[in-house]
Amino acid sequence: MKTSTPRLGFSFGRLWTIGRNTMTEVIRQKFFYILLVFGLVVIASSRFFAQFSSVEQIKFIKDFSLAAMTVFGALIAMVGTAELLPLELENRTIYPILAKPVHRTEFLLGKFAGMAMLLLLTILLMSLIFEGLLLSTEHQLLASAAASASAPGAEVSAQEIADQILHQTRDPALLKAIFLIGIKALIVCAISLLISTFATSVIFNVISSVIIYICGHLEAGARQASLGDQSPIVRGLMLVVAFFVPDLSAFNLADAVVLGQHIPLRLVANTAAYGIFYAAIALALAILIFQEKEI
Amino acid sequence: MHAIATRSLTKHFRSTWRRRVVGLDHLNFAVRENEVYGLLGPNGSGKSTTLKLILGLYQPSEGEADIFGMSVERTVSRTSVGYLPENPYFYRYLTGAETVRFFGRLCGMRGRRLEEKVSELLALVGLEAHRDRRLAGYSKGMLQRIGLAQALVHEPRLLLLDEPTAGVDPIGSIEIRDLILKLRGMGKTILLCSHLLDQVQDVCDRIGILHYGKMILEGDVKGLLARKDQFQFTCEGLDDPARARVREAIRAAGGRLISEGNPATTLEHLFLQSVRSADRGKAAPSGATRPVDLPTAERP
Ligand SMILES: Nc1ncnc2c1ncn2[C@@H]1O[C@H](COP(=O)(O)OP(=O)(O)O)[C@@H](O)[C@H]1O
Ligand SMILES: [Mg+2]
Repeated sequence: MKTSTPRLGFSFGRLWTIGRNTMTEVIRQKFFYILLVFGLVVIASSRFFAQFSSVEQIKFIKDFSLAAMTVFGALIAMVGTAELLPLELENRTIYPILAKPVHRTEFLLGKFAGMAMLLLLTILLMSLIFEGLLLSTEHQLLASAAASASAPGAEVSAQEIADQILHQTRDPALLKAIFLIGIKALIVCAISLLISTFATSVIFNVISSVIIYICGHLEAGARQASLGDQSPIVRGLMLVVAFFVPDLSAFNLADAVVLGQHIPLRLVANTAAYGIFYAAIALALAILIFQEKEI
Repeated sequence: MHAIATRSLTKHFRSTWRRRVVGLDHLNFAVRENEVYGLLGPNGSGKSTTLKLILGLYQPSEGEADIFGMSVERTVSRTSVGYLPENPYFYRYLTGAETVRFFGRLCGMRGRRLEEKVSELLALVGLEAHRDRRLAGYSKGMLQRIGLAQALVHEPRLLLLDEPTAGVDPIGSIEIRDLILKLRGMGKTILLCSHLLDQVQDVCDRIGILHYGKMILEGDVKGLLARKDQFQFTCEGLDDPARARVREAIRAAGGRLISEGNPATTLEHLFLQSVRSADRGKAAPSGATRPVDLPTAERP
């Protein structure tokens, strides 16, 4: 009878069916709107906080907006991802799905893909607002610079000021910074998904993610500080933390961008690879746990 | 080859205080192809657990199960089975059509073929009129029917239905029973869990009764229910003297009359008749969401 054993390969079609549905699901939640709108408002408001000289004003907008994108990206990733699996289990919507010829891996990665896509779209939207803000500020500053420089007795030429302004606004390093903000949000998303495969409480998940997030930012500084410390306990501890917690400060290019430093593409690529590697490990662990999970 | 076969299928749950709860206890049973098998039993007897083990949603503590000869540990075994969960919940923000489409996509269908399947299934379960309404506004009966539609989307040979009429009013429940009969007519193999016994009696070929996770009785419905030593007539148009002559004839033939009287109609029958004649009077009760055409099926 059994001439050939049928197989069911991994399917990106099924994965993306789950992913698209996940996007719809999260977009419909209140927290998402609130965080998104709040994030956009915060970015837009940097225009009104800034009352500095021309170039300083642009630096402030950049610093402020990149920080806002980082924080709101991470917040949406934490809250949104933490709820994905608990909601499916609580509402029992997962049963008819896994009763279909769908691999659990496809389901879990689909959930991740949907959330990841939403995060990238969110960051894209915030970037557009940010870019619009930069361009309008640039326009205004160029006009006023031209006016003041053409006044008799000006110390710097209009051209010089304009160059300074354009150097700040048309900086390709901005794209690199935003790219790494996106990668960082994906790491947070993967870690939160991993936690949700074994923790049932959403609150516990969010708190854990926040702690890991903060540790991830303090890690590099702590390592620096403990460099002189010869105590094996401290060094061992640092190693353990470095193993479990990704060095998230590496993804922060805002300082370099504001200072107008050159950011080598190589550095960006390496950091991104480090982040993707970390997220992949977290996802692999999540899949291992979810395969065995009693749903 | 059996549609379903289980060998020593066992499931323990760990509850609070580390007490072990037996969900299913060394179950051996088989469902043949093209039969409707009723799995009965009181609440907590292990019916839903059995279905979830067969679907690989739970891992067995012991034993194993096959679908059409293939181990349920393999995801691919799910290509030939459709599942209607107990009290089904789907995404509330999707419409009826979107729900069936979603599950169709999960089964690898797309394009024209998928759209045709969606319309066909919505028609089969009688939800075309509600295809673009969100499930958040569906009644329990409508959720059960959309659940049936999604269970059928990949044309499985086997259906597992967990309490398909739980919480559904009598009319909706008869509609679902008729649907099951229709599916049986289409040649599907069906494993039906229920604790509503008279429903099962109408639909099933064979039944098994679970109690505390053990199969305590199994067999053919007709064989189990018929009392072969007794026989029943139901007559019309006999007056008193004629009845007396019948009693006399029974006695003369050596029989013993056990009971007589007016047969009671079932409450369900009475309910359906009243609702139908009330509907015939006016178009539809105000505010009613149910379509006016009620099922025409009567109890056999
Ligand atoms: N996920 C679970 N965790 C713990 N106990 C469970 C779980 N599922 C079922 N049980 C227990 O297993 C037994 C059988 O349950 P179930 O199969 O749902 O019964 P039925 O469907 O026949 O009403 C019950 O005692 C129930 O409490
Ligand atoms: Mg049950």
